[in-house]
Amino acid sequence: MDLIFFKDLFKKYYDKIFDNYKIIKNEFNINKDQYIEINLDKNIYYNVFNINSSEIKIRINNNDISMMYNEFNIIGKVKINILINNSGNLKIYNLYKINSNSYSDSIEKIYNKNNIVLISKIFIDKNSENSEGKLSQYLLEENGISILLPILDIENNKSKGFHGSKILKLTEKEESYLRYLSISKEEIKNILMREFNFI
Amino acid sequence: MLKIEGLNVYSDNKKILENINLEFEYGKLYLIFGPNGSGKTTLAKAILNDESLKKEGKIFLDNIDITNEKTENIAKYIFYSFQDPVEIENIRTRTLLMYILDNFDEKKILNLGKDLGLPEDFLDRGINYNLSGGEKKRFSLLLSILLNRKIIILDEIDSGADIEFLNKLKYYLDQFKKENKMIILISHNLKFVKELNIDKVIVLIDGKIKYVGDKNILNKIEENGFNIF
Repeated sequence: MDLIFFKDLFKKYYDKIFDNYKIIKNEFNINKDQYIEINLDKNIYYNVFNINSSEIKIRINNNDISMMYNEFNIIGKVKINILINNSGNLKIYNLYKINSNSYSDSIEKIYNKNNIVLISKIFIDKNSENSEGKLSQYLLEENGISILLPILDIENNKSKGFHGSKILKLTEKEESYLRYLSISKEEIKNILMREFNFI
Repeated sequence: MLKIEGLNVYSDNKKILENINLEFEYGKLYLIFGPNGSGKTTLAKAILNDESLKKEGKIFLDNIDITNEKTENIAKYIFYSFQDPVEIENIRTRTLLMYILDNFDEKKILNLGKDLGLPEDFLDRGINYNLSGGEKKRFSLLLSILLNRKIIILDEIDSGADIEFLNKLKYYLDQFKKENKMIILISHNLKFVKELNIDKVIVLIDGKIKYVGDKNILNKIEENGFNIF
């Protein structure tokens, strides 16, 4: 992992200022349920999560110009919940590597008030049999620009990958219906936030 | 009292309603009757100051001028049930009701939903989401009961409904009257409305009021159609 890799990964979005950033590397070995909160700064974050049959909740907060690479090595039955709370400029790459006879259910919730590019890839290599990877993405935007790029890369015929995404947003017709139920435009934001927190 | 004075309503620069003057009192059931395209729904939406309409004239609610009040504020006093309720997948019915009801009593709501014939899981579905046309009407009736507004406008809530629902509707219309609410029913179903305890019929044709009076007019319309006006 190096800057060249990032440049290649985000070539379309890469900002030259990242050349001056530090690379902060962390490795987490997780075999019981865990919550991790990461506050991003002007750095490049490189995290490896080795997860064995457990559930992990990760909250990522960003107010700055940041870049992050997360690699999840999955063994057994794993559940991953990621909440990204972004009011800065953020580029993230999440790679879910699923081993043989393993199952991963990943939920990415993105609350974006600025700019985010999120590439998420489920990868099952040709030797990983009887595995399954599921990725669900939920986006709630408030005056933000979001680019979400989900990728399924399943090399083994006996394994499966799924992806689904949902943007929590209302049409004008839906907003009008709610006004007739005494809910203002401002209140609609609160209601959507409640739905987002519920997922 | 709800009072409408000299109301003209335009949609896309086309005049839909002309010189409407009406008064509605609490504890009474009003029927707005008229052929398709006569402006019945527009009248209801104009009362709630729908932002898509342009208006001239005045509307007073309990002597307060609400002509230019925001829809969401008027809706605190008036419940309007849409002819075609909108489906909102992204907000669950539970979240909506928890937000708009002063007391969210899940057991009471589920029992009422069951009584009205709503699916068991309706609270956890999106608002009106994947409900049939008939179920959407049932949900509108549920809202009209739970929201407890002093004025209720039901726009073709009886269209396409089965006998069981029409009986429930009839029961609740009587209940609303007992609770001294003002009910404005917009309907095409002559057979059904003739069975109701209607206090006043308003006939609207081509955006103009042609009749305000008792329900005997419904027999004449049944015999001769709208040509009598």
